[in-house]
Amino acid sequence: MRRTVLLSLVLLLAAATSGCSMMAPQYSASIDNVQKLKDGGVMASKVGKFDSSPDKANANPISLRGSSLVSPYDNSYAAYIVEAIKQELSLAGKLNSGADIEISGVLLKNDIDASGLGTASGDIAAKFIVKKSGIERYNQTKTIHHEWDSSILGAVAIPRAQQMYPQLVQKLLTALYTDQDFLQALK
Amino acid sequence: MQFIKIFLSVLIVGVITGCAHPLQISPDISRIERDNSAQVIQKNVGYYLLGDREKEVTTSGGGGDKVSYKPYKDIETGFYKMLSNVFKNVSALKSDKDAAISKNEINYIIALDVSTNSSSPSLFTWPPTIFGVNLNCSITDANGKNITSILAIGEGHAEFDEFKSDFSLSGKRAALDALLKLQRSLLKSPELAGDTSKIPPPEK
Repeated sequence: MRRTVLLSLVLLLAAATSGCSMMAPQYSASIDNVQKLKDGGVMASKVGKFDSSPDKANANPISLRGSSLVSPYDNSYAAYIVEAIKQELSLAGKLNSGADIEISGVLLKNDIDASGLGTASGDIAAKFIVKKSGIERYNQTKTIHHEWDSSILGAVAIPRAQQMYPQLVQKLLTALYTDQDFLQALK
Repeated sequence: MQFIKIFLSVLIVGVITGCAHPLQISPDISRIERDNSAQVIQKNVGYYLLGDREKEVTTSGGGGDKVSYKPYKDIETGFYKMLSNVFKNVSALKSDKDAAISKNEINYIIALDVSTNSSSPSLFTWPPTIFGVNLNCSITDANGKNITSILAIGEGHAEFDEFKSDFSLSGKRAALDALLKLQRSLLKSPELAGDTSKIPPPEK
């Protein structure tokens, strides 16, 4: 009897904590970010290439308590940033693939720490470059750190961390769009 | 040993009884497109949410479990995209008294109410197989005069083979269905497509 109970507990714990591969949610534009672009009076722009720097803190895939979180855009988190900027420019009516102004960059840091029993956190940093007619007008790095309530239970903590990823990117872009130098570079 | 027993007991009770499983019902906005045969309504529209963007609701899943999500936050981006397909210009407002109404020369103001439901007949899996999203729009002109009200009822279904890679699938399908139905209703609404000259300018 004791062995059966013990085996059941082990299986239950394994099911609750074992790893698998999951996809980060597709990006969903922040309307506040869209409004910032609209209100900023920026010109239509195109989005160029984003590279990803090889760094331990620039994880791909991201590890969530043994589960792997992969990007839904070509398994690339740099491509995730490209998609996010495109979505927000598009909803603001400011995306034009033939524009003279190009936004590009480098993803420097990208990771989530969901190991905490009460709190989880995420960090993203990216360098953003704006060029107009090939001439650089902006080159700055934006960094965000965000924390949220987590849980001892993997069944709650892991999906919550998974769902936080788009919000981390939203916050990174909020930091970019509130930079007047960036908005000025898009004019 | 005593500590381990207590820890395991708490963990097992937690796993079995469960907190609400978090979901995100944001639809894929690339699938919210206007039918080519439909004409954009040449009016400026503003909208505000009747519920808090961060409001979290809990509804039923399968196996006696619950699911939680933020309906206003999850649907707003798709709603904005849908309105962009229908109207000339879209503004997000904080309320029907927002200064942007005058500044952006808004013709119509939409108050959006979102309600949801979910369920699953499964005894063994928690993700909902049936999801409902209701979008209720009360539309006024810039002076507060009622123009029309439109209710779109979206339904989403997902079975185990589909949702095992996306637990939110039925919710995303319901949200997309509701938004596309709402888009069709807005584009067909005779009250909204009327002559611009009949619409009084916003009060300064």
